[in-house]
Amino acid sequence: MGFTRSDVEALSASLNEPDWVLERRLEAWGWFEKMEIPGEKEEPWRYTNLKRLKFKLDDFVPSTQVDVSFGGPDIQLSPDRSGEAHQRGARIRVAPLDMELDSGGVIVTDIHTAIAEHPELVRPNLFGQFNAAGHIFSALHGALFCGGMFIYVPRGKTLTLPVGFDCRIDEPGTAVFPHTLIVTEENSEVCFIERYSSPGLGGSGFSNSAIEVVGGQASRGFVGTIQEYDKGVWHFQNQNLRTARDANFKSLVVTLGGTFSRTETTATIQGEGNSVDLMGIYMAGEGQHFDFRTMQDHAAAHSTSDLLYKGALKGNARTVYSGQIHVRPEGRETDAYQTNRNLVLSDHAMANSKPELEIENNDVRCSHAASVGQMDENEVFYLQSRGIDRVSAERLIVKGFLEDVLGKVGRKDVEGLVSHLLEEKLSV
Amino acid sequence: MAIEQFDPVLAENEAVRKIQGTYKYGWHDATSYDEAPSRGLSHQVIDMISDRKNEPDWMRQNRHKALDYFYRRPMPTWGADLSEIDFESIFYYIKPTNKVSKWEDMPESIRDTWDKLGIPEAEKNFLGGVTAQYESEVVYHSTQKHLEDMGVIFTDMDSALRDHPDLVKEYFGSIIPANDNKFAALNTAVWSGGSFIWVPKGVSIEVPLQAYFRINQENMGQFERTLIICEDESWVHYVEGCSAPTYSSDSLHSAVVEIVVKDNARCRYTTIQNWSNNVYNLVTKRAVAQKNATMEWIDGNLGSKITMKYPAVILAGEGAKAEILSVAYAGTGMHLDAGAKVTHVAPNTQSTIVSKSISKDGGRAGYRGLVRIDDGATNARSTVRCDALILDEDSRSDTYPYNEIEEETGSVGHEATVSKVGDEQLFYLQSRGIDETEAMSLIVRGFIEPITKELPLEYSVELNRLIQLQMEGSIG
Repeated sequence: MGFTRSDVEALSASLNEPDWVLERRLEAWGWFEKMEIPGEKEEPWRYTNLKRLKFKLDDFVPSTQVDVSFGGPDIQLSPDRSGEAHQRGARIRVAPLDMELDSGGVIVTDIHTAIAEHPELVRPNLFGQFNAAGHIFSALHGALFCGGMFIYVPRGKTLTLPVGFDCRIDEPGTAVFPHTLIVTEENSEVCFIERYSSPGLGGSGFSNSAIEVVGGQASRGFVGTIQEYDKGVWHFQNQNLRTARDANFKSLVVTLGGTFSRTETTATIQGEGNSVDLMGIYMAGEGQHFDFRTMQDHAAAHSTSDLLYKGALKGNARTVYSGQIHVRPEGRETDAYQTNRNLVLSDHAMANSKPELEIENNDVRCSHAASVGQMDENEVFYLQSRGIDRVSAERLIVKGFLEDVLGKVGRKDVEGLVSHLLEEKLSV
Repeated sequence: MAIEQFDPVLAENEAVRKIQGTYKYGWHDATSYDEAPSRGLSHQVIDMISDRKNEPDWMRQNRHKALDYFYRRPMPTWGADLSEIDFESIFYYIKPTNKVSKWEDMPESIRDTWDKLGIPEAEKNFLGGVTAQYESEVVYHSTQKHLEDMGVIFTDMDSALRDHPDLVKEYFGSIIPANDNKFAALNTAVWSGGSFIWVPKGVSIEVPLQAYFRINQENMGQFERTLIICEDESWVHYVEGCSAPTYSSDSLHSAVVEIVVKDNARCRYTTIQNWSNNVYNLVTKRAVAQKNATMEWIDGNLGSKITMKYPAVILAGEGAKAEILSVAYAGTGMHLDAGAKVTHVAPNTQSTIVSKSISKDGGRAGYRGLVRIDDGATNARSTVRCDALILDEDSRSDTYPYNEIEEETGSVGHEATVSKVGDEQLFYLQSRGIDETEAMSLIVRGFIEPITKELPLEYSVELNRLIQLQMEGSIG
């Protein structure tokens, strides 16, 4: 059990990877070997004690030990998708791309095919944003990444429909490491929605994924992660966006499932005139521990970033939000905002919120707000007085509270999907 | 020991300003000390302090234990950079003179210091009692007679240990244990001076009690220890001020303040800290508020090289309240890591934290705070408001709030903003004939007004004057 250097070498060999990829994997493996599971003494893990949560790497094996196979056009593109891939453990299938998009230079494929066929696009960007040395989980991801997509949108092209990525853990005790890289050229547009689940898993699982977005000048994008794992799954995710001048990107993290979830979202604003929205919705129940970490890094002038994370807690759920706005000296005329709101619905739930500001420039407008509170009895009473029973009234209030975030998404398809998922989760 | 002397008259003049920037209290006096001081920290130093003070054995043992804690604990790696503190070069104990209760009996050089700081004037005009501490020892103390008649004890900590040993033993270290943090351990090991206040049941002290702390010696370590006990239904307002000369090498101020506010009592503790920019100010302050008690910290940080100070309140009794108002003004070379901590333990407790920070000329001001609502603290309420003003491009502001809520019925709101002085605000004032410096200064004073209006008039005037001094020349 556990992970070994030979897993890394075997994986790379079975994929016929070029040397530069193996080098990056082994460099990450080197960090992994030097690192330990972080403890509470480390500030980024202050409220998440993995040892107390009894997380052990030795409980898992890479899903590549079960099966690795890639490629093969054996799934069909759904009518509401412009691209699609399914990952089951280490196996990934990509639906054939629409002819028109294909001839226009759009690339939608799995990451390994892209490494083989488009090294000129992948090599400069793979791990460009993702920091494998960040902690033990990112190091392990860097060493063993397997599956995930590559999306390339050339200059001026728009993918109107979302590209969908559906990742499932289907063998108990296995670990998945999908790595998705999205590159948008000038004035292009992309929408990417990934979903993680483990229907009928009946055991434990380890999901350690990453997304890197390299947003070109004046490009627009939406990146959504929806996590609906079963209990028993440990989910670690790293989402990194880097945006060039005048780009406009949105990220949405919806966390509903798993025993444990840690998502780290970083927006690095590298060009002037950027607009970045980071959104989060979470519903944590009995036996769940969710930890969200965000960074709005303003390294260029005249940009705006806005963050809104809202969550509801039930049972003995624990949630942690810790986020930072960092405005560097060159980030003049920055507007940066950060809001985290928590609705605590049970006596045993606990919410921690730590919004931070580090401002190294005086020509900014920055604010943050955090709140933890309970349901307003007046609202419940109002709905009851309109003939709605208490359970339905509470459900409506929670849904309204969380859907507030969707108002900033700006895509009807995403709003509908997430709203439907919340409805489902609330009616359980 | 050669001590460079400034003519006190010059201190008011520009010549000194040129040397020392705008720090008004940057002169120091040539003082001959009772004993030749020596540098460095060891168990021998502790025995020396304990011997000089003729302390009971429990306190001596307490000090030794605390020094072991200090050695064992690592330096904090968060907050400000403390790596340049050289614990071996610091004077841990300097006794300037014997304590007197008549102003005229003080050595002239020390009296000059306080005269320049305006202490006797303040005492005459509006204070119920005054303690003045110079280096390690309280050199002057007086309490108004009617307070003594009511049974109020206001004295220095060393006298309290001698005259009221049972009270001191009961409370000393009960709120901030020796092992609380590295600097609380250091203070417990080498503490000297500080105030002791005991307010009997039902007694309200209508006029503030004041202490003034002055560091004069280069590389001095000042470790005063203050303990305030407010019995049921009592009320006291304690005010402290701090200053030090400007030297080229650093001094260390590491105080511990413990406060117990019993049922229905109220305590307000006001600090205007204006240490010179070579003082490390690393202070632990914590109060426990019992049933329906109110604890208020008003914390003004205008000086020091580095300040790390987070006044704390533990709301231990039902219905207890905490109010913390904090203002920090960081100029050149300063890093003020100030903040507040409130822990709600009991039901129906409330807390309010208001923090205002200003950074200028490359200074770095920050808020670091904790609001914690324990499971069982039903209906606890807390609001936190942090505003920061950055006056130029080189300066920096940080906000690190921690919110930990374990109670379903608890509610916490935190809001923070960071901004610069609005061009339109400046333009408006200038269009009314106010020059830019004055306009800037008006806006800054308006910004910190929620704090100044809570101060006694004299302090409020003083704070505004200090801000004014800091603001001069801020428009480049």
